[in-house]
Amino acid sequence: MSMLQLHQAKISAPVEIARPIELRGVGKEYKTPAGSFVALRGIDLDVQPGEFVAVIGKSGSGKSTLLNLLAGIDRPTAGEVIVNGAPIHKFSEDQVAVWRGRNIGVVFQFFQLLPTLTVQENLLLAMDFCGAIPSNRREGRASELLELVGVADQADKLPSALSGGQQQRAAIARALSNDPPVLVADEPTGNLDTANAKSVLELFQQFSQSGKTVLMVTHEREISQYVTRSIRLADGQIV
Amino acid sequence: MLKKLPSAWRKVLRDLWLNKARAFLVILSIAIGIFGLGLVANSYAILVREMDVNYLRTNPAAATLYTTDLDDDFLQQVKNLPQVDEVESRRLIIGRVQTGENEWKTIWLFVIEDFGNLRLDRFSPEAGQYPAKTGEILLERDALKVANAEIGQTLGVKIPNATPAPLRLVGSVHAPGLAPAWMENFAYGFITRETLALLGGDPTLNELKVTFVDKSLNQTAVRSTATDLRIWMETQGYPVSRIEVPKPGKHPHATQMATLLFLLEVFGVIALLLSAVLVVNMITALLAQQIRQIGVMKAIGANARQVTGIYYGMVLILGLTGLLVGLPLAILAGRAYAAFASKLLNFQIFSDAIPWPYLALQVLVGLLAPVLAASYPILRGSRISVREAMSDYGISQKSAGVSSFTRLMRKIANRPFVLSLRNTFRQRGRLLLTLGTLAVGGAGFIVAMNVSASASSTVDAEFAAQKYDIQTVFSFPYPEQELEQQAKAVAGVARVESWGSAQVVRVLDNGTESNKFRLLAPPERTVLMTTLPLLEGRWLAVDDGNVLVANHALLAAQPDLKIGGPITLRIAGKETTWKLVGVVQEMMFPPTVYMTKESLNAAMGWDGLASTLVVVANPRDAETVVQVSRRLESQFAGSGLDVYGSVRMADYRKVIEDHLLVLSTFLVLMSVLVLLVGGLGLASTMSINILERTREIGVLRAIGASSGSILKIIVAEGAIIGT
Repeated sequence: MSMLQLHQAKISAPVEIARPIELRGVGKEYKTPAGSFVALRGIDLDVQPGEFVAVIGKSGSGKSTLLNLLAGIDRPTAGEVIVNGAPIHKFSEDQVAVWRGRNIGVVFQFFQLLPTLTVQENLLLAMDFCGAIPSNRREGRASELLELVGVADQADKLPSALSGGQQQRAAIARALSNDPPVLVADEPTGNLDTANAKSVLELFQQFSQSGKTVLMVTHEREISQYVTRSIRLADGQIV
Repeated sequence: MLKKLPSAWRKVLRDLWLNKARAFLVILSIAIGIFGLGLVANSYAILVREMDVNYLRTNPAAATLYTTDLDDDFLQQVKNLPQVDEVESRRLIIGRVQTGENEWKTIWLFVIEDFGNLRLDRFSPEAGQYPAKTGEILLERDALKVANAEIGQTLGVKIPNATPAPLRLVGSVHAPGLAPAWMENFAYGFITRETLALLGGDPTLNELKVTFVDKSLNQTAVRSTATDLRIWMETQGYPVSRIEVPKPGKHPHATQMATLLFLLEVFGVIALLLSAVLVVNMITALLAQQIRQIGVMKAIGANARQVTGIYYGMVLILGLTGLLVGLPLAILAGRAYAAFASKLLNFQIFSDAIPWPYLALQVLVGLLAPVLAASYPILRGSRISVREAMSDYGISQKSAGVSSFTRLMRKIANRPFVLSLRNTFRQRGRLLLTLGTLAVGGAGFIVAMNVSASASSTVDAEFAAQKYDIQTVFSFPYPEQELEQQAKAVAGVARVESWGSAQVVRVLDNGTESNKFRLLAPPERTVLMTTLPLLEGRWLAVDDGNVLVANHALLAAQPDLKIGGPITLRIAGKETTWKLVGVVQEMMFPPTVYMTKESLNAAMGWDGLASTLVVVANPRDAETVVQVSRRLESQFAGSGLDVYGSVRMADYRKVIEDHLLVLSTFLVLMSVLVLLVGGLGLASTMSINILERTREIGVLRAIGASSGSILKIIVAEGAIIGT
């Protein structure tokens, strides 16, 4: 059985909605003791279902800020952020959290698995929080997802017992727990060796091919073979 | 087993397990808080209830009227009066009981009409035979030790103006209405009228004890009702010489117990407050580690309620565990303290059950207080945005810039010390909590030490003022020349002074009388007594006229007394008016007034009479003083001088010091507990401060700081908080 088939069995294609990601005139300004700092200005962006978009740019160009706005982790100071049809810039912190659980899977550079839960429990916690998956199906789904990313044999270990590559795969599995249509990843390969980085990129590619929308901030150079589109940011603007 | 739990609970349990040391500290803090609160609440519940039970079982007389030969017919007439509820007749003789060869202790002999029908001021059989028959005596259980006696032995008992007679000690009784014998340092005995006759006393009963129908009267109202009764009795041919009215419904030990409980309350509340502060600190610390994880959980879809749920669950587990440790200990300690206090105050604990509202309060506090204490850090932590959480290292965003103080410090101190100083003040709220804890802990300790120190220095001053070793009081005034010659004839006596003394009452403006108290009158040129520790006014002087000084025990009993005001005394039946010029402090002395012997004799028209001898031994060591006191007893007995009572000051002091020791040990223990909580507070703050900065320490290392210099920075920070 190919990897793709397996993944198609576990991950449903998203219901057709207008557009997974829609940014209109988005700006972000930070107030710091040293004065205000503009991280993003006038960003307009549309992403279609099934796209795998790479966001590239130098350090400080606003890549991570853009991703944070999409995931509802941060809010814009100007413009609209509409993800899966939801105007999340209008949501309260709590509404955003609930919405995020079902709609967006987040993958971090430093994996961010909860250290006192086993790999499988990390997935279960995400499902417990959202309640999108019926409770009798959660354990089975966790096993299947871990199988999908290739760390099923690590399910009962604490994250600290896993290698970086294994932790990132587990974190990706966790991001898929509630079957969100959009996946965002902040330099997911930044802490991985070449081989592990490659397999993570392959996973994302497969997800996008199965209909998920993937948006990834990255420093990797050789990504053209995986992504469907690259957006370059410089000084807070798309160039 | 863990597998069955929801994943959030697994996280709670594993996080606690991962932070065993800190969780243990939180549990300890909660346990200490519950212990502090529970100790107070539980012992209070038991003591107040049992003291009331004990006191009410005695059916205390509302008033005692001193008159002449009471008979059953007259008692029945009194009982028939509409305002009178119950009556009983008694007689009290103050005698002496032999406790060794030429060793005597004062004994209060209660003469009982019918041991089988006690109606007022009751007591109950404790051990041995009951009742006492002719030639037999019962002692109060607490007095057995004072009298150095065992049930079954024969005691020499002497009443004034009679020769000693042997009485068989057949049993003991418990009389919780009396002040504890060990505190008074005299004994209580119970005998029949026939036995009193055997001792050479007048076997008539002269005390009329009554209770009134209206139980709601205050002391003044009882006194005026008793005065009405006196007027009526005098029309019936029963002159009343004196009326004693105790505070109604108030156990004679209520004040002492209030003191014991107050000490407890203070430290219980301090322990509770400090532990609450500590719990806040600890939970903040636990959460400080969790901030990033809170961010992650929110990023994967947890709402604020789910996040707070996890941490409230954690706090509830801690609270429950703290409660499981603290509550049983609080119950044990509360019962132990109640037992200790009841033994001290000579009453019986019939039931040490703790009422459920008290237990419920402790459970509620144990669960709720940590939850409340943790609410601020939990709510603050759960409201933090994902982005803040993911970048939080515990450094405030609103950094205040460099103050002029630290600029000054930079000039005079080296850079690492300036770092310590700034680190100290980085989290101001936490710093304040820790400083508060340390300050309150330290203050508690200092207060405890001060109370102990001032108590013992008061005792020192009091005994330093009394420069004699033995004080002997005679049943009647004797010519002072004769008393002094007799004493000087005894080997080992270095110096003697004869003093005036009496039992007196104060005549109040409305013609009623106060309870009895003691009068002591040293000569104006005495060398054996100097000024007692003065609270107000002045001490006695030469050619003082009709002035007197009272001790604070008298002022406590008669708070209307004013410095400079008049006070009318009835001394040996004669009324004289005096001016109160000073108040002195005497630890655990009965109410007493002091005047000069010259003033007393002038007012009374006595010439060269005295009824008290104070004696200095040579040498003044304990053994010689004991020998001299025995020789004096033998000398006075041989020359027919009737001794009313005699006390060695060293014995008296020991009783007081034993009592103080108990209190000060207790105070010190409690303050150590409080200090311990303060120390835990400092430890926790330091550990949080360091934990939040592991990254910063890494940076310090990266720029070349050795372990030693990092340690210096941290220790300096601890020292800055501590100072």
